[in-house]
Amino acid sequence: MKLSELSFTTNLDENIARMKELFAHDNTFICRIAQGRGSPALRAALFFFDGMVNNEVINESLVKPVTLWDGAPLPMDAAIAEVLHTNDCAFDPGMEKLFAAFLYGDTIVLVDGDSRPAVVNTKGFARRGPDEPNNEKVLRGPREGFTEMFMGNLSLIRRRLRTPQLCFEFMQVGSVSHTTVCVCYLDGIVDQTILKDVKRRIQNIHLDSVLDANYLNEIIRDNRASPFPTAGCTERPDIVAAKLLEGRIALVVDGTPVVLTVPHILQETFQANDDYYISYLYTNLTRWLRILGFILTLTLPAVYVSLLTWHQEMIPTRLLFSIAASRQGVPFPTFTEAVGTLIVFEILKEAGTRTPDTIGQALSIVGGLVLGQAAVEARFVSAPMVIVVAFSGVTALIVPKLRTATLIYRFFLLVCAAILGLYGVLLGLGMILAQVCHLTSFGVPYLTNLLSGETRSHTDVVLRFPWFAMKPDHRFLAGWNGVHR
Amino acid sequence: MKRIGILILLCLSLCGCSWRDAADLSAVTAGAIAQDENGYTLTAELAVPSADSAVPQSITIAGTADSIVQAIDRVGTGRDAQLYWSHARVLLLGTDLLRDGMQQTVRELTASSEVRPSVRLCAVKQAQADSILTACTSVSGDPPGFALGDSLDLAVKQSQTPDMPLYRVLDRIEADGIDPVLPAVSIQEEQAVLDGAALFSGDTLCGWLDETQTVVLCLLMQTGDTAMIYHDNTGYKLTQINTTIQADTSNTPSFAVTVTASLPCEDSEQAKSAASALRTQCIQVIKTLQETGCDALGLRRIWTAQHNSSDIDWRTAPITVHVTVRATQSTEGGTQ
Repeated sequence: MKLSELSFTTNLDENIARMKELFAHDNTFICRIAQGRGSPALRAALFFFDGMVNNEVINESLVKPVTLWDGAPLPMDAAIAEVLHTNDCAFDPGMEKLFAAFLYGDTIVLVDGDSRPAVVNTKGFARRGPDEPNNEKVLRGPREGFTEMFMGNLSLIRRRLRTPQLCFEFMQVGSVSHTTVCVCYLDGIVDQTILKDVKRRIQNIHLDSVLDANYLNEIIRDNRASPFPTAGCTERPDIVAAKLLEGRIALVVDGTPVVLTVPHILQETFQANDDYYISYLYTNLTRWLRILGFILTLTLPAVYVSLLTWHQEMIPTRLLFSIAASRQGVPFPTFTEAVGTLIVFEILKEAGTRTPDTIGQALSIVGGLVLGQAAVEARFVSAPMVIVVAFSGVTALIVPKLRTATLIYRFFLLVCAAILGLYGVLLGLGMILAQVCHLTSFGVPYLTNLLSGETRSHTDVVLRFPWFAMKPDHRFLAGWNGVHR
Repeated sequence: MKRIGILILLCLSLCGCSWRDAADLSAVTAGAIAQDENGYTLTAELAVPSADSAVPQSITIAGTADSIVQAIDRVGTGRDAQLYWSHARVLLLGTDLLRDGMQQTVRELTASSEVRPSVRLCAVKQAQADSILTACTSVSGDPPGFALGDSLDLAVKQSQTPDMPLYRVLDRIEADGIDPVLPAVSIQEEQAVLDGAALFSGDTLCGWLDETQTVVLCLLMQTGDTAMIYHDNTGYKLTQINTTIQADTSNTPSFAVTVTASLPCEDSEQAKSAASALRTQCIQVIKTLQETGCDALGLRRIWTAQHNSSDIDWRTAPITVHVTVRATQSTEGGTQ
């Protein structure tokens, strides 16, 4: 039976029986009947789920007022106005909304003699504090992070942007989960075309459930097959606020601390969370290191393989002797050795990610040091290959937003290097660049600002200009919109 | 799919199909070429990597053939690993080969895709070419040929010997109009050492210079801007050297060589003494060049450029040498 087809009668006992029957197999379902002191007395039934509600609110705002009521029975609307002590109560909202709220921690109230229900906000499930996200730590700056609490997350954003321009528009996705998604933007700054496009794409989602922001991400983003992220993810409210100020749109999904920001362009992948909280001089150095790290992690194994298999003349003689000596006894060709070592490295990395912290440290030591040393001594791999792969792996960690692209294209370039040497590496890089040039994020070119000749849009790309040189209208999408409007 | 297939084929056609793993190669560090009645004998010094040591062991192998290219192919026959000539630092040329003319050898080496054009050539003096690689002991674990390459690098940097890579020798023989001069190597106390320079008239060996003369020749050829000259057991370190050679503006076949240099010294007397010594040595070297017929200074070319005529016997032309040495720590300089 569909919940929307359910209806109540004026007979309270009948309604109670119907609700009990409906949730007969849910042991957390609770029905509390409260009766006033009057004669005849006011009788009310409260339906809620154990663990989902704040018991104090139910006792103080619902049960106590009804039991102390010494007047005559009242219809539901009058009971809300005269008996119940609550500031958030919806009267007869319709069955669909009623049950959506009820299943999410609210309490249904029914009185005898009235078939119209009310639903009171009594949410009170377990929650964690807004701790700093583990994967987005900063050296300096705010340390709050989003949690799984939807409204709490919105409040974290609103606390940072105290302006009526800040808009929160709710949408429901998931035919079973009925997950609430909040489209969050700053009116007057956001591009209306992009905003409409975002809403349209969310409306077109046909999933039974949306349990995390990535469900949305994979469906609504442009270029779904590309390993480059065309929608940003963050767990930090300060980052979301900054993105909104730049004209982006944030999608807050109920039940997850991950917030999507769109459009998302390549320059954002090289921006770190605390770039804006520490000296711009230091930031610029580290940003360059990130760009260099990305290039190195992508190309280092490929260049090493191409030098060793195609262009030995480019290796300094003594280094060649050293590499040749270390490869003595290794039974695999350089390419096979590189692929194998990279796969082992990725396995160790994945294992380290999935294991608890305490075991993870032991795993790092065993995997990284003991296994690596033993593999070199047993002549499974050569020491230079371990160095190259380890360095490539470490440099990948400084650009975490591009880890998928790094992983895939590293192997791609490795194959290119094995087939065509450095020529192949350059050809592969050209193909990757061509693909990146083709990418868009909600209609915005992925390389916006990087290939733009417009100087005012370059204040936060490869260099982060100091704050006194970065005026609001010079920032990314605000400026971009100005050009395109 | 068809397009992708064509693209892959195009890429493969560009690749040259020359995949060679580093472990499949034997790096040649030096080579020696000798010529006799059987043809060319090519001796290659190989660096064989050892798993237990960072320093490679060296072995020498040899092959004989009618041409250099065939010898290069033949010398590696029967080995598991392919010979890799790109890292060869020095090629030693035997005296017999040089006396017969080295043009053919240099051409074949240049045409070979195996040998790098930047490999340095050396003339072997008073020894067999291959004996430099086979009879000498290694230096600090480095193969003798490899160590010789290091010595050559250092000597070139210090302007003690002419810098003569393969491509420059070919240029000089075939195009430049300047005769080549090769560093000379001999064996002393079981070690290969640099021992002056070999002079060539065209592509044929015509004489030798000792070490002191070679330094002066480098100074005249201006291969660097510093030089160390010796006189009466006193060394003078000249800096900021500038050498110009000019032909006489009249039709009288004569040349003027002007050398200016600086000498850090206490007083002008030292500078004067150095200038005098340098002038004497320059005259001696130029005389040797004229006697042997080695136009390493390009006198004929200078004359031709100035007079539009190559009709000159530069070997008998009078050459005046002016040397100016400035004492850099005193106000006066010595002039000769």
